Amino acid sequence: MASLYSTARRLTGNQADAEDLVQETFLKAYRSYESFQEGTNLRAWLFRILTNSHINRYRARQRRPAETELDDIDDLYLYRRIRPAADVGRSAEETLMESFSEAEVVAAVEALPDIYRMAVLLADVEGFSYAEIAEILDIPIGTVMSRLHRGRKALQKELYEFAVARGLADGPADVPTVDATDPQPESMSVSAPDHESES
Amino acid sequence: MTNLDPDGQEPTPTWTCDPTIEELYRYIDDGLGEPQRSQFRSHLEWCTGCDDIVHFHLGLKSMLGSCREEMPPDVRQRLLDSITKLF
Repeated sequence: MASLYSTARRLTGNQADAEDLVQETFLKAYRSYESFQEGTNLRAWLFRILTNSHINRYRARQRRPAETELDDIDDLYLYRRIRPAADVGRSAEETLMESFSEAEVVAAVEALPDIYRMAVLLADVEGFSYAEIAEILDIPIGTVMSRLHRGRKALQKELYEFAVARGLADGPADVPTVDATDPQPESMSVSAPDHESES
Repeated sequence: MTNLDPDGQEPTPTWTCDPTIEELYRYIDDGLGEPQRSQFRSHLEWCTGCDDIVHFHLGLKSMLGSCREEMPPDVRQRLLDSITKLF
């Protein structure tokens, strides 16, 4: 129940709606328990009811950003901007990452469009596998990865903006570029999973 | 590195220092099967560039994992009451 509430809180953004959503989830689970097949994943089944209920409640509010809006964000958006020099990179990175307050991380998560937020919450907060998330959201595994990919990129951008606002990182004009003679960081920024098949 | 088919099945075990973001995600999300996972880990032992990027993504994932919302006691009690009424 704690996990369901935590996810509901992040999806709805407030306590009252989260409580209603969890209550609705248990009610629907009770009413449709005959459809639950023994041996299947009860936790994933409950999360499926929760996310479906959320989607049905807030369908009108869902915003799906243009694909290009997120595709334009670098896979290593934050990484490239918080590592000013390779020799001090990891310590500088850890210092900055640890400096983000819980409120900033929560705000960054809650700023994500619903479809990406659900994937990120299920994977990174609840620890579900790709297969379980695919079952919960009723989408192919490739789409799970695509949503995670886009969600994590958008998160990096949100966090970077917090860092800039607090003077912990340089603004966009000073973004370091990757040395063309060093192929390693660039090599990670290659083809992304692109199996998003929905309209 | 490895080439995964759209369903993530039967990866073709070829290795170069050219992991895709998809492979990186499969590694950090425990979605990379063997022997690919072991190969990836071995690669990280000598490739500082890839290791740094994996370290960054694991840090990001860990940070997100810690933003769980605790349920207030009064909310817990009301939800338990509503569940009890169902039975």
